[in-house]
Parts: sequence; structure tokens; C-alpha cells
Amino acid sequence: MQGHSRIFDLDLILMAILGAFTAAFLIDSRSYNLTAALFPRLISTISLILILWTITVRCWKLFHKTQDVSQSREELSAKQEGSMVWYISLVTMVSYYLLIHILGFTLVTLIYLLALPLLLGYKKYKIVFITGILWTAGFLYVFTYILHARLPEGLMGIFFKWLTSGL
Amino acid sequence: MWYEGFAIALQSHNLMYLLLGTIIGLVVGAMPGLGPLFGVGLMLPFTFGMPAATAIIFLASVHAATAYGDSIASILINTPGGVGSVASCWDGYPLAQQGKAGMALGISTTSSFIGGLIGWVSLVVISPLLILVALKMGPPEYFMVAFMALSLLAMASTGKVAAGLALGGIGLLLAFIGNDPITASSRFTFGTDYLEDGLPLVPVAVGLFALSQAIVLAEQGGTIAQIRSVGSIRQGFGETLRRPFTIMRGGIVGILLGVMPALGLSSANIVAYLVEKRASKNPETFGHGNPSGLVAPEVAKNSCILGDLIPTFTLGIPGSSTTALFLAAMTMHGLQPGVNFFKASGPLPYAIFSGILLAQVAFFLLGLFFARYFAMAVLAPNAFIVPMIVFLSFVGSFAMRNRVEDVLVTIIFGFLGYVLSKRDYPAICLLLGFVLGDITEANFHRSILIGRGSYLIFLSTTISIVLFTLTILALVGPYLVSLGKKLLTRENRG
Repeated sequence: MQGHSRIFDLDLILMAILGAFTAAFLIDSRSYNLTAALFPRLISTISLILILWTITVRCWKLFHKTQDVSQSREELSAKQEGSMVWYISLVTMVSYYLLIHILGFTLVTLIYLLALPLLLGYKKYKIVFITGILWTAGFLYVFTYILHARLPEGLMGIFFKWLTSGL
Repeated sequence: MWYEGFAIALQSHNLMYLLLGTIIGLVVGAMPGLGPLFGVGLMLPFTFGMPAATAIIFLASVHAATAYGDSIASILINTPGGVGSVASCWDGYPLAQQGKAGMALGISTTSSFIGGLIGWVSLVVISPLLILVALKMGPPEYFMVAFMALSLLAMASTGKVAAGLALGGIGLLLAFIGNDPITASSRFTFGTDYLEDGLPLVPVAVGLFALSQAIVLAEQGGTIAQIRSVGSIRQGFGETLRRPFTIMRGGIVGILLGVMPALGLSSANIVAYLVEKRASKNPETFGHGNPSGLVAPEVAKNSCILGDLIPTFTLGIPGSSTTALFLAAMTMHGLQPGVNFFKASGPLPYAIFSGILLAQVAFFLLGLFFARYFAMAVLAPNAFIVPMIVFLSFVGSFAMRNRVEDVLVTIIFGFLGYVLSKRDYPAICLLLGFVLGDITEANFHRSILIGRGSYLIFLSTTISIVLFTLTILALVGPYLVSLGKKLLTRENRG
């Protein structure tokens, strides 16, 4: 179990990802001319050395670390419960982005502003409803009438336009 | 002439537009990601029908108030209002958490006002001298300035030097995405058209600091202020005035970076913060609510935005994208910026400069008045604030270029920023590298071309030698001082 947690140490995973990212840059820079490749090669090599150094230091620390076994099961389960919030936040953000392409920016914004406070445990429904409507309306007004910007309509917006143009 | 200028600026319709510009600037500035560039760009078309002085005064008030308003979100919700106020989060937000949001906003308002005054005095009095220095700077000197700023990475990576430097390196690599500045060959785009222009700064900064903060706040629950208090705004006023040396340092950094084209708002506040931390006797208190850590970037930010205007007015060369819009507005209204700006246009330039000064006063007074109401945001539940931050971050990222892909960039950097903050890695190093990457690389190659392949070009002028020496001294100075102290103690013991 102890060895398992050492391998899945978040610092190590993060540094490994950053190392892979830097290595990809180093490999990709091989195809460029000398001027274009000079800085990327130099910087990616230095960064890789620093990342390897950080990983080595971290491994050394983990090797010498004695795990605190006194942590109770309750504490662990509470931690796991709390850690789900970042997951909810991230999933809703990605869904927000993906749904822009289907439902359009305005409708997704309204749904997001109404749903996320409730998902995060805010129970004052009236306030959530009123602010959600007001923020979306304000945003729509500013973008449409002041900025004259085209907001992504999504597939639904295009379909709706097609439907109304047919009538 | 100055009397006439002030008389024009104080006319009722000019004052009305000044007030309107300040209110618009405060609202735009308070939104995450939307800085002075967005505010001035948004308002530029509305100035078409205005008289020249009114138009520039209106834009100047939007410019000053947006830069100030940027700090409101930085302090209250740890979300940079724009790229110019990233450093205001680091000590401003801890103060808000300690129940001193009012004090932090008081510091921000007073420091921004003082920074504006420093910038204005520089603009009016010492701009010819500053321009003389700026004109002598070529690619080798700019490379040295960028190198000097990069040396601050070691300072920024608190306790995790190797990881901080590696993150700085990754920031530099991200800045290399897009067309190479010399040969224009496409790099690291991995076949996507979106990356041809490089990664946009606003979505990266908003993701790293705003979105990551939204996730942290969602996890924390409760309210931002751990004590149900917002503190006194007047206290912030006193805290700022008690730090004349911090104000001086911030002002110098802001003006110098503002005068230099391409180096501006995005780097001034970060550099001023790190310089202040280095100069401090208690650097360990930075990041935990040290008022000096808020005063320095705030002064630097507002002096920088006026420093940006110096080459615009005196040479007709815009110091940044925002001042390029000013240049467009001036040309549109028949004004001729350049060396003869003061001589050829009668009392008009004096009216514009008076208006710029009044713009500083306007945001100061409105800021002081509204700060208490803004500060109440820290008492609202996080579950209610988080969706607003996410929504405003997405809107801020999207609005700059009207591209939905920018929202995805914000999410990716938001998650990265969250992981980095969770493991106590300094995300600022990544941003510093990202901001300085272009300038460093382009000026390095240009210098080598000018020097026909010789690296001695970097030490060929007095300015670059001075900059190089200062960088080396800043890097090894603290170690030399501590070594000297140890030797002295040993001798005394002996």
C-alpha cells in the first residue's frame, strides 16, 4: 500500500507530465531551422534537467518519509468527499464549453448559472434564479447591442433559425 | 497655457464624460480578464462625434479607471481583473481573507492614485529625458531588460527554486508557440490553425489565476472572508502613505517598463512585486497579507499605464496595444502626436493632460466611495460566487477575440493552475516566462543579426553593461552579503 501511494504521488505525476510536455517540445524542435530551434532547444533542455532534478529530490524525500498511520478512516473518507468538489467544478466547466457548441452560449450560461450554485449546496433558490436570469440578460444585452458581437449560437440556434425562416 | 488647459478640462460636458468614463472603466475593470485594452477598445467608436479634448479625456478616464478596477477582483476574489493586476492578488487576497478587504481596497485606491500621479508628473515633466534613454535602447538592451526580469524567476519560486525555474522554462516554451519572430516559420502548432498566432495571454492568465481560484473556493465552501468583517478603508490610506520607499520603487519600475515599448502592464506589476519582496527585510511575510506587497504592484500598474502614454504623445510611437488605440483616437480627431505635439496644437494638449490628471482624481474619489460596497463581496457564500467567477472568466476569455477555443485554453490552464496551487508550485513563474518569452527571443536574434553573429553585442553599450551588472548583482548579491556577514562574525569570534 505504501509503495502504491509513492508511485501515485501527485507531485511526481505532475512533474512527469510537465517533463513529457517539455520533451515533446524538444523532439518537435528538431524539425525547425537553426534560428527557430535555438531557443526552444535551449529552454526545453534546461527545463528537462530541472524537472529531472525535482523528481529525484521528490523520490528521495518519499523514500525517507514515514507514513502517518494514525489517520483515522473518518478523516480519510471526509477528505475523499471534499475532494469531489474539484471534480464537479471541472466537469461542469468542460460541459459548459462542450454544450456551447450544441445549445449556444446564452442558453448554456443560463443553465450553468442556475445549476452550479445548487450543485455546490447553495439553497436560496429565489436568489439563484433572479441573479441567473439578470446576469444572462445583461451579458446578452452587452454583447448584442453594445459590442455588436456574434455569440456562438450552437446547433440548436442554427436549427431554430432554420425552423423560423421556413415559417 | 496650463490655466487654459485646466479651464477646458473642467468644462461641464468634459466633467460629465470624465465621470461616465470612470464608471464604465470601474465596471469593465472589475470583470476578470477585461483590462484597459478591452475598455478603451470598447469605447473608442463612441468618441467619433465628440470634440478632440472630450474624446481623449473620456478615453483617459476609461483607461485609468479600468486599470484601477482590475484590482478589485484581484483583491476580493483572488481573480485578476486583467493581466496588469496579477500581482495584486498575492497580498491583496490574504488581506481580504483576514477580514481586511476594506483596508486592501483602501491601499489599492490610494496606491493606484499615487501611481497615477507619479505617471502624470513623469509624462509632463521628465518625458523628454525618459524618451532620450528609451531611444538609445536597441535589441541588445531590450534583451538585457528581459534577462533581468527573467532573473526574478528565482525570487518568484518561493522555496521550490528548481520547480519554479522549470515552470518558467515551460512558460517560455508556451510563448514560442506560433510563428518564429525572425524566420516566421510555424512552430509547435501541431497542425492546428488556432495555434498559428500563438497562445493568447488573457485566457492563459485568467485560467491560471481566476479559474483555478474558482475551484479552490468551491472546495473551501463558506465565504472568502474567514472573519465576518471588511475592515476600514481609511486604514488602507494610512498604510500606503507609511511606505514612501515602496511607492518610489513601484513608481520607478512602472515608469521604466511603461516607457519601453512591448514591456508594459503585464510585466510591471509582477516585477514591482518581486523587486519589493527582494528589498524587504521580511520577505517571508509576502503572500500572507503584507501591505507592501500590494502597494508596490498597484503603484507600478498605474504609473506604467501613464508611462505607456509618454512615447505615444511625445514620439507618436505607441508603448502598448492600448496606447495604439489612443494614437488612433488622436489621429481620428486631427491631433498630431510627436515632438511638436505641445507646440503645434495650442491649449489642446494642456487640456488633455489636465484631463488625464482629473481622471486619476475621479477614479480615486469614486473608488473610495464604492470600495466599501465592493468589499461586501467577500461576505457572500462561495457557492454563489464561484459560478459568477467561472462565467466572467469565460466571457473575459471569449470577448477579447470572439473565439470559443479561448474558453478551452482557459479551462486547461485553470486546471493546471489548480493543481499547481494545490501542490504549492509557483504558477507565477509560468506566467512570467510566458510574458517574457517573445521579447527575450526576438531581441536575442535581432541583436545577433546586428552584431553579425558576435555575442559581444550584448555588452557593447553602457546601458546593456549596467543592466547586465545589475542582474548579476541581484542574483549573487544576497549570497555575497550573507557570506560577508559570516566572515565578519567569524573574525569577531576569533
